[in-house]
Amino acid sequence: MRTARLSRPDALRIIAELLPDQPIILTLGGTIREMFSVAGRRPNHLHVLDSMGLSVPIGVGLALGLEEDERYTRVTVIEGDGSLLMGFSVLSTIGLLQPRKLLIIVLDNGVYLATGGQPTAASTTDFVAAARACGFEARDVEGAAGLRQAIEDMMTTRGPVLLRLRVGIEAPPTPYFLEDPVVLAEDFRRWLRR
Amino acid sequence: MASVPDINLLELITQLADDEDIQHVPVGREEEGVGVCAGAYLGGKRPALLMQNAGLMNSCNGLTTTGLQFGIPILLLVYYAGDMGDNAFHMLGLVTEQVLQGLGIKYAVGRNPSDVKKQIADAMSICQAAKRPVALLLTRDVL
Repeated sequence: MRTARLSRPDALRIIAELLPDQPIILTLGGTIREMFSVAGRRPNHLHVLDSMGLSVPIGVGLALGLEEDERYTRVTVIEGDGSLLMGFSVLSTIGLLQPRKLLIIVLDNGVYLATGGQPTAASTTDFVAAARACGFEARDVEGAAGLRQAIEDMMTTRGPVLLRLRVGIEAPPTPYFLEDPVVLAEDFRRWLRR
Repeated sequence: MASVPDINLLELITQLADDEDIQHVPVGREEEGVGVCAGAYLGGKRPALLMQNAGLMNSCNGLTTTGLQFGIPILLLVYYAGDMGDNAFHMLGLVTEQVLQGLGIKYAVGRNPSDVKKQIADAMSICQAAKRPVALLLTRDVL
C-alpha cells in the first residue's frame, strides 16, 4: 500500500525544526501562511510575498552573497511546483553557477492551490530529471522520515541540490499575512548580518 | 552584477567577466536577475542588473513585487534599444521611459560618454540611499 502523502504544514514543521539557524526562503501563497501557523515568525525566514517564480532566484543570489560567510552552510528555498514552473530557467542558471550552499525543497502538490486547485504541469514534469539535466544533483524524497533524512544528509553534502517531495492538497484555514514587506526584508537582512 | 546579453553590451559584458572586483552572474531571463540581485543584497552585496530594455519589460513583476515592495536597491543598467537614432526595437524605445515612470522607478538617460561614469555613480548612490531599484538607460552612443 502506498504511504499517504505528507501534508504541506507537516512538511514545513519538519523543515523549520531542522533548520532553526539557517536562512530559509518561503514561496508565496499558502506556504508562507502555513509556515507562520506551524512555526511562528522566525528571523531566519524570508517571506516572498507576491513574487511568483522568484523564490529560487532569490535563493541563488543569497547563496552567492553568503558564499564566504561561514555561519551559513545552507540557503534553503521552499518552492512550490507552480512557482518553480514559472521560473524554470533558473535551473539552468544553477547548473552553470553551482551555488554550493543552495538547497531547493520543492513541495509538489501538483496544483495551483491558492487559485482554486487548477492542475500544474508537474504531473508530466520530472523535476528531479530536469535539475540533473541542468547539471546539479536532485532526488525525490517521500514522507516525514524521508524528508528528515534528506535534510540531515544535506548538512554535509555540497550543493546545489534539489529535493522534490510530493505533498497533499489539504489547505488548512490560515490567516492572511499582512506584515510590511520592507520590514520583513530588513529584519531578515539584519538577522543575516547580525 | 547579473546580466542577460545584447550585442550592444558585448564589450561591457566581456570586461565584466574579466573584472575580479565584480562577480558576474549570467542569468537566463532578466526577471531571474531581479531575484538574484535581491538575494545578493540581503546577503550583503551591492547588486546591479545589466540588460536590454526588452528585459526591463520581462522584469516588471519582479521589480514591483520584489524590488519595490521589499525595498531592494538594484542598479538597473539598461541598453536603451529603440531610442532616437537607434533603428532596432522601435516599439520598445517608444514605451521604455513610460514603463519606468509607471513603475515609479527613478531613471536617467546616458547620452554622453563623458558624463556616463558620473551618472552610474550617481544612480548607484541614490539607489542605495532610497533602497529602491534605480535605472540608467544607456544609449548606443555611450555603449
